[in-house]
Amino acid sequence: MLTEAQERTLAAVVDRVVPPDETWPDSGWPGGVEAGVLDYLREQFRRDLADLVPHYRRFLDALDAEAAPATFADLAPEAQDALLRRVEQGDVRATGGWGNDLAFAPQFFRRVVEHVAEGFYTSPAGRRMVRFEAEEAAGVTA
Amino acid sequence: MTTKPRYDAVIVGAGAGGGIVAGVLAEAGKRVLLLERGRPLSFPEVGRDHLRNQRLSQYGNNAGPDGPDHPRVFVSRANGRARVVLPHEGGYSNNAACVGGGTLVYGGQAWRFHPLDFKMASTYGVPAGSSLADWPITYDDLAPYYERAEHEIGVAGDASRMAHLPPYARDYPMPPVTPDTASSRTFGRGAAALGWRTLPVPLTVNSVPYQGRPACLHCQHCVGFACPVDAKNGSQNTLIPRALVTGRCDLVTGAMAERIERDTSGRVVGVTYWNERDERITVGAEVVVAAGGAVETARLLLNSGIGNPDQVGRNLQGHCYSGAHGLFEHEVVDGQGPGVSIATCDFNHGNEGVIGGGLLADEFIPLPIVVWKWHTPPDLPRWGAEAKAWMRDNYRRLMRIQGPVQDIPNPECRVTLDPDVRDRWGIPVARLSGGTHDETVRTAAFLHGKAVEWLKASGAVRVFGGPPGHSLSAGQHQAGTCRMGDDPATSVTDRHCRVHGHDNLYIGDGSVHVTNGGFNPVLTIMALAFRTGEHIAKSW
Repeated sequence: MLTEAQERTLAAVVDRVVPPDETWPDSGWPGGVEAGVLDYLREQFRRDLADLVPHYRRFLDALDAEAAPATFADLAPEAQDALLRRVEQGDVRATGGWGNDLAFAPQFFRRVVEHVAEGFYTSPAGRRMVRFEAEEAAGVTA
Repeated sequence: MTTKPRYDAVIVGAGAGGGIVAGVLAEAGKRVLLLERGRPLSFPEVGRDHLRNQRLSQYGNNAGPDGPDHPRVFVSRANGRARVVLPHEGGYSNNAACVGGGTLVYGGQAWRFHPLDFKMASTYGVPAGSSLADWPITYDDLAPYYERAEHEIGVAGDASRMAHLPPYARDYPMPPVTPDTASSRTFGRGAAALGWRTLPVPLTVNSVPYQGRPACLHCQHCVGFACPVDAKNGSQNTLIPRALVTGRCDLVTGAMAERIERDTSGRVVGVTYWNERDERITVGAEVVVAAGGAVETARLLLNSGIGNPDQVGRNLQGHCYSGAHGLFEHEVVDGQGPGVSIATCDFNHGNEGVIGGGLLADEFIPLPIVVWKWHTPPDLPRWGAEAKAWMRDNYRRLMRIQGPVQDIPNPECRVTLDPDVRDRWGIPVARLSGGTHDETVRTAAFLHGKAVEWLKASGAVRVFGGPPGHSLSAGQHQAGTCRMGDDPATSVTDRHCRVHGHDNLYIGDGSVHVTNGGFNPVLTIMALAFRTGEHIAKSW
């Protein structure tokens, strides 16, 4: 569905949209990748997001082109964040993968962010992090 | 075309209304056919998918309908453009399609309407562009049936706290579900400081074992999901099983009604439907009851050429919700489900300068992804460490105070038949158009102000979220499309929910609501269904 390079870029994006806590894994909460967001997205690419897979490919390729000569995944987290902030603001170069439709970058990034959040906040880690399940209430009358 | 034996009554739709009419008629000795386009659904079948449920149908529904078989057409109020929508998409105004209908997966707020909700036009006058009217019946007419619904469906509450209503003849059969939560303590203090009266939200949830089923486990998946221990009461676990146990009710699921049939004299004689093997069947009956919800019932009547053609489908209304979010220094979500625990009914009527009003209450335990999508502050980044930390730190410190604003009916908000789009069976689909009346938006702004006041008085350190704008409100609270009235020129049914001009065709759902109250409407749908069932049993 995605090339190995695209998968690698996607993993890096997922972990910047929901980064691991700085204290992780000693304490705190994992980032999106470790919480299972890539598995969530792979499933969705076969299901509800199937129509968006070509857009994902284009977006991930363009991110790598924007990061050239490095790849996005090879950048330091701070540089990745800086690049994504530029994408968010539409401050991207017409060369590379975006083509002439520069509005695609911020618009599609917003969708990627929502998809990643869907994966994270429905995952066991995301649910435990916010304390959705009430450990103290669940056993009251059970 | 196959013809089946005749029934005393055929009921289209096994939801809150249709299921109750079936139970009342079968117990009165009638032979009943109950048609439902959905299926009976078990707890595991409904599941706990946070992205596909009756609360958040991001990618699908958990209690039907789903997929491409049941399209509708939605006309945007903003640009007039029409588009085909599927059940999980915005604009569709879905309510569950299964045995029990919405009552399998609802939150179960079981409010009686206020006496003035039945007299809106004589209380406030009729604003320009609205079809505001009084009901042909009063609160007193419905009170005995509210009581019957509270006891036979099963509602937990405290009648002594319902100070906005006339005294109850009987208290609720069960005490409140969660009388003491972090939220009810917080907002109880705030209301006391403001001098507002509060009450525990009445719910169709067992707070103690009742009618052979256990008490609520206080889990976090109530609204939008089925109950793991069957402690949430709806038609699927009360009146429908009661109908079936008589041996006089046939429940046929996977049955899509196409039209109500008439003979050459125009008299209603039965219903044509498609069964799950895609066979087209016409079944005869003395009485037909349409109970598919305000959108599908209007569609069925229009497809049958029955009912005042200028009235059927008009005045579509649900509820526009108004409120605000508050962030607290302490935790206001303690995880005790269902979650909604405290309300005020001080602002349903008597509000200076606006028409009607609505209740205000705290929220059900929210799904984390719902908080992320709907309840975050507007200035929060949508990604990165700050967004994640906000969710971690604030999920349990955040509460939304909100309520259903009494809709001022707009005759231009309506269900018509789409001229082109057909469903899987070739039946013309519902086309939804129009929007909220300006007066509803004004009342919503007023209630928003009251929600902000309550949040601040209760200690919120930050309040955010604005009042709602114009939209088409129908959804799970859909009502109004076959309003009852004494004048056939301005209504669809008479005061017994019988379609004008037909002595044997009744409506058994929220379509008959003239107005929809500033309350969740299901108990009113249920009360009317008991009343209608009783009327049919006596008359036929």
